Amino acid sequence: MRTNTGAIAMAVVALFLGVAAAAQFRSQDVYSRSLQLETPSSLTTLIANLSDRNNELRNEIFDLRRDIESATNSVSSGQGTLSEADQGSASASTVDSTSARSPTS
Amino acid sequence: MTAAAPPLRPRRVGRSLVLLLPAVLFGLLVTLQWRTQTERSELSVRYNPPLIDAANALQNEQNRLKTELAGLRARLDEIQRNASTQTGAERELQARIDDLLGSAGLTPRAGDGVVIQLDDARNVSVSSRDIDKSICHATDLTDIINTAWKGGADAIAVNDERIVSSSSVYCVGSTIMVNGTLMSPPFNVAAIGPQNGLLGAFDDPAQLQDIKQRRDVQGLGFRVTRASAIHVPAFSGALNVRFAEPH
Repeated sequence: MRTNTGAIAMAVVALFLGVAAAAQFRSQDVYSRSLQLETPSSLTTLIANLSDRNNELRNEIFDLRRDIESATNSVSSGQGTLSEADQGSASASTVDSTSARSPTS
Repeated sequence: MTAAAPPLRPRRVGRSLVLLLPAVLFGLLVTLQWRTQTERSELSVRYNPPLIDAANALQNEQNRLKTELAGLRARLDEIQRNASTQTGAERELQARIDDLLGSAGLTPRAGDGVVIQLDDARNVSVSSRDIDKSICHATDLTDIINTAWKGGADAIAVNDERIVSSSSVYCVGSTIMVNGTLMSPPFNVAAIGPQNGLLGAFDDPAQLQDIKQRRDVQGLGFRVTRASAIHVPAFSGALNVRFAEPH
């Protein structure tokens, strides 16, 4: 009787360990993408890239604020109707001149 | 007395065997756990949380800056539009600006086209020899974008990031960045343009051979479907063009 109880207990423990092992194996084996799984080196590069990109955005915001101020002043003084439009056309064509169905970098 | 001794031996052997199985499983479990610990180096465990926090904070800041930039562009556009409603020359210039803004990707677009879905193969094993072929890479996205241009696309966006001349698609580790924005699969590439031309380009056996082969063999997710009323947002990133002058 004691032997049977021991065997059943052992079987339960073995089953539990088997399930735990299988779960562990599955979680190990499946590829997943997550920032948690990146190396510190990759994360540092990501941060540097994000930081550069944010600086570019800040620079453009600064330029646009200046352009808006200048445009507002020249329009309110009655001088800048044509020149503002001309400036807008020039800046749009600068961007467009490099855009025509170009491959991405 | 001596006759009762032999039956005890098989019982002992049986008991040992019962212990052997859990012991082996326990050993397997410990080994796997140990492998996990060694793969995630001490450096990763120690430095990753603050680095991930910093990356997420910068991404949130970028989203905020893009929103602000879009607002300022709209404001400047409004000033220029109001300023150029008086004479014929001004109206002509404004029409040219609108045309250029459209082709530069600075205005949202809507129309018919195709949607391309790209995703990692499901349940890819990290120990698989072909893992590299089972997941999508930045170069796959670039190839898809270029095929869409070739098929006559007028406007393209990847997960709502508009593709323009200054767009960048690259990867850092397993993370893909489009226009400097962190992205991960699945990718939805929306291309507005002539549907037959676009589908023809993607169906062309000479195009995207590698991706199609990986879809058929490794189960890479790649699907092209017709779609109506696709919305492609305006480019929201910086357009600081250096070393270029308008002609």
